[in-house]
Amino acid sequence: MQAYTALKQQHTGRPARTPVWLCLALIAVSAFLYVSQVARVSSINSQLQQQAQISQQLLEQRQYLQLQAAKEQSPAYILQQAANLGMQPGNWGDQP
Amino acid sequence: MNNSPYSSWRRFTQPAALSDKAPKISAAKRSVILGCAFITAFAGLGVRAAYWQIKQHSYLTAQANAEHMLSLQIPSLRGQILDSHGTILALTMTGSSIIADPQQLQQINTTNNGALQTVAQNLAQITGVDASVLLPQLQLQTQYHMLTNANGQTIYAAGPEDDALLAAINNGSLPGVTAQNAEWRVYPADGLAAQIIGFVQNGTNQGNYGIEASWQTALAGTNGLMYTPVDVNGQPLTGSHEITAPIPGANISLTIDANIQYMAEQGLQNAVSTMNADGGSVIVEDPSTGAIVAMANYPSFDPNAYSAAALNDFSNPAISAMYDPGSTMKAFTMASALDLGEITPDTSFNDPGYINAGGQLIYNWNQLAWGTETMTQVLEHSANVGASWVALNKLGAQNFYAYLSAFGFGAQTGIALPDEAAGQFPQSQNAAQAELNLAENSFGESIGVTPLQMVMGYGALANGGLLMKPMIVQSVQQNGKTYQYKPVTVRRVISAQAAKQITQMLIPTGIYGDAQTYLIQGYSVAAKTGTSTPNPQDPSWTYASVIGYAPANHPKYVILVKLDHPQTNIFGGFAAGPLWRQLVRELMAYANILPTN
Repeated sequence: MQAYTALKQQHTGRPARTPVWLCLALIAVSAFLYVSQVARVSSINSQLQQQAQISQQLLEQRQYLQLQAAKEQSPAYILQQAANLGMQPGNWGDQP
Repeated sequence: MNNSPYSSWRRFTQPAALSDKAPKISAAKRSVILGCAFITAFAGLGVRAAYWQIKQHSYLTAQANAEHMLSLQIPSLRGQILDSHGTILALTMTGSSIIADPQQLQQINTTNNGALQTVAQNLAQITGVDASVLLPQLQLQTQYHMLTNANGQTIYAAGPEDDALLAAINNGSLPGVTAQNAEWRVYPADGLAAQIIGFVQNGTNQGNYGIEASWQTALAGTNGLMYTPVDVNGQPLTGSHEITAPIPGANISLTIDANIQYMAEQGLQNAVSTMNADGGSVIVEDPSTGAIVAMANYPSFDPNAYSAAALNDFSNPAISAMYDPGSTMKAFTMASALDLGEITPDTSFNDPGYINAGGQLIYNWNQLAWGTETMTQVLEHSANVGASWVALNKLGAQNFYAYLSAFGFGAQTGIALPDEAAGQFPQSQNAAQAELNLAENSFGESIGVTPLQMVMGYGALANGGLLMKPMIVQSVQQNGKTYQYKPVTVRRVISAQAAKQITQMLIPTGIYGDAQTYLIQGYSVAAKTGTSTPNPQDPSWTYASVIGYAPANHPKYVILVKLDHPQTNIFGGFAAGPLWRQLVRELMAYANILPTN
């Protein structure tokens, strides 16, 4: 290093300010950080999409279950099930 | 130098000023000029660049984005419609519709003769639609088309069906068939309360008729927006999206009780069939709040298959169709006179069987003369002459029509449903005609009212004299908040004392009336029958109705049953009475109201 600095000083008449390899290292680190960030963003984005898909599936399941529940709560369905069980409307026993 | 043989040439090629004298513009000045020229040129470029970069920035950005960015609408999920207990009456489903690719199906069929049969059977297993319905559609040599069921309705797959469909398409069990994302409206109780709810047209988020139309903005919500980069095929890329989230539509809870609505609809359908009528309406109201608990009409339609229904069946005649109410109107004539103090229940007069109104004689419905009778007996006998006598001699036109207006006749009630009629009671400038109108209107002829107006009017008699605004929406839920609607009192129409008196007059009317309803064991009811014939020459135009409330002293429900043009029996008590009685029995049991007498 000292030899390089001396050589540089001898050649240019002033001391070397920034080693080239340090610049290259900084560029490499920056590039690495950038790539890793992009990869991370991409990964998170992919996870988000998966979560959105799961959310959509859950929404569809919820709708499906709500529909089934609503059908089974409808008076016509209950009456049909009651009839299937052998029940029938009672005789009120009052007179005209 | 001037003697040189080339001097003339040199003079020609080298101007004297340059060759012979010192330059007029020094090198420094030339540098300045050149610099200025460059500065000016670059300034010009800078101004031009600023023009495009700053002033035209938005335009250029939009142009550039249009090349590779896409604005996608994210549809909002339409809100649900529920009954008063939270049972879902309408909801939107998300899943797939099934598309047939005719070209591919034809190729498959050419390669393997029984292949389409296999595809149809596989589809039938997933959708539950018979393979014989699907096969002809798979054989159709047209464009891409959506598959439909036996009723011509688009087949949609949701939940497990959708999962099975997508799996079958992916594993090659359904060649020539694809799935397309779809949203569709479902009415789980089929035709229940159809004319209250309305329907949503397939492929749109636009409601038609009923709550779906009148609450369109709240139900539809607000669509979201996704601004995203796209690939060369226009497909969204993964990456940063600008998303404005959609706002889901509000859920709307009705005052309708699905169980009571079902009782009313089934009962009405049977009554129309038994009485050989053209149609009819039933309304059940809670008089203390004005809440409409049931509103049934026949004929009606199934909103799941709206395309198969007749256009006339979409409207709600209980609020949009006027009719002559007949003798059920006499209760208002009596209540008005009671409120003014012109009569009491025991006021008596002599009924000779006719009365002169504007030069024309009006008779009782059975042509009988009742002699001396009280006002209570006028209602029991359903005497036209008695009602006319009260209107002509005790009320007068001014008071009578003022009370009719106060009871809400001749104006919309303001119910949150579309296409409500106002009704009408014609008043003539001709004195004789005006007198005849007054007499006829007093017993419900030559006057147009809607079934809902009658119910709200009887509600005022039942609750102590207050006209309530009819409620059909109980609450609205959106973004986790619930907006509860409160009962609205429109006005006091008659005093509590007059309301009590008319109720006491209507109790024996319901039991002993000549066109009587049936005795309901253990319960006191206040009721009045009505039989009106707009065209006396043709009884098939008759409207037969019974309206009243129960229990009489602490009314829980006001009930109207109206049959249009019954042929088996035209009289209100006999045509509409059985259903009215059946509904009272069922409602008393349903509401756990015990018999008192």
